[in-house]
Amino acid sequence: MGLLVALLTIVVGILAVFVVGLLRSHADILRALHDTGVSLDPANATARTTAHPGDATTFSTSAPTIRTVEGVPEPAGASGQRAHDITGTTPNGGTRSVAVTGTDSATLVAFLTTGCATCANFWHAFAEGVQLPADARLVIVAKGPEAESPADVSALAADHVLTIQSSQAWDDYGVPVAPYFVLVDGRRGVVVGEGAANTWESVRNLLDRALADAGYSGSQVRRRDLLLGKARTERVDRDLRAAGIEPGDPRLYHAPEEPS
Amino acid sequence: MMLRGPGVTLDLPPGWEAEIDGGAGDSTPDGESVTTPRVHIANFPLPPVRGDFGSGAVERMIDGDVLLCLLEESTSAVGSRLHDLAGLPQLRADDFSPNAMQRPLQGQSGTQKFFHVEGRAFVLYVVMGSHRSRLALLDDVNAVIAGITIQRD
Repeated sequence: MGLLVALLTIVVGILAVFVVGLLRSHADILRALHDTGVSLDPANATARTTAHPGDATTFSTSAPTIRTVEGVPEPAGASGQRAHDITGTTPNGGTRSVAVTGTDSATLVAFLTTGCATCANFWHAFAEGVQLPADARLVIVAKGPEAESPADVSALAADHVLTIQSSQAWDDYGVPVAPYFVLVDGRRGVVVGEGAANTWESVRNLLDRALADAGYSGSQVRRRDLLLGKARTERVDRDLRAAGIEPGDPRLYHAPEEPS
Repeated sequence: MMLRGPGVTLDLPPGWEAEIDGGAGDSTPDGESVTTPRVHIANFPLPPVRGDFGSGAVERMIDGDVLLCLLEESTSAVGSRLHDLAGLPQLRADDFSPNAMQRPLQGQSGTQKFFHVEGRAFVLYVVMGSHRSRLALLDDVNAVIAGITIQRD
């Protein structure tokens, strides 16, 4: 009997150690989530959390949460922050202004540096070409020549991607970290989404949701695209693909049949 | 929005954008290549790569779009009959013609004006995305031209 009691005592002791370990591990996870800006408190579900300046916040779900750090304006979906047109220098030494307000399109402003490893992925992705939703326009903004070498920017910038150096733009948009992305609704001239991300997929998720909220629906055909025949071209490509006809298919090039 | 380049300042209305760079090249009699300021102004998104007279951009223009190309020419052009006009021109609707396009594009029209300012010779080439809309856009175009300031080199 005494032996049985001793055995049970030992088992209960071991289980208690396991439970304490699990509780500590759970607390560590909650603390880490809190530090990255995620609150799991149901009573605080709508409250925005803050991250520390310099922390690279990431979007970890398919429905990204837009977070801001202290001192950075809330996304315009909540605050209606006015967007600023961008003026700066180009990698080839010119001066350039970009109208992101007073236009009929949305603009994705990508704030990148030449030094950060995550930014390098975006420089590469943008040079390769990315598909922007609702034909949003992409503008890469690096800091001005006083902070970033124009030669370094030029080495990373692709000719076909609009790239500007402007420290003023970084100040205007209160950019806290790099890479950082700001989506501007050109019709209303306001920021409709902003945040940091590690991958293009995360940015794309942010864009899709913010553009849909701003009324740039995916099914909407812009007047510019309609008049340039872009929508028709895309529809024909889609229909051909659905029929199993890919670019280069010999059936696209056969001689027309003579009417009988 | 203000934009400053070498000897050229632009005061742009909302929704307009521009680039000033050294795109326009010219050759001296001894074969030396000289780069002079090139200014492109548009009320639509200017693509990053463009020719001096807007190739690369004009193909994307639709009804309501306007592109202005201001190109400086060599100083030897100052005093020539071609550049006899003094000061930046103001345009009229009948200045525009489909035949004045560098490369004819359906529905578009253009005009070209040669002039001198502050001892510098320029050509201004303006393209309308739609010839039929030139009258409605003329005031905007002339306002943009009025916002161009050229300083002496």
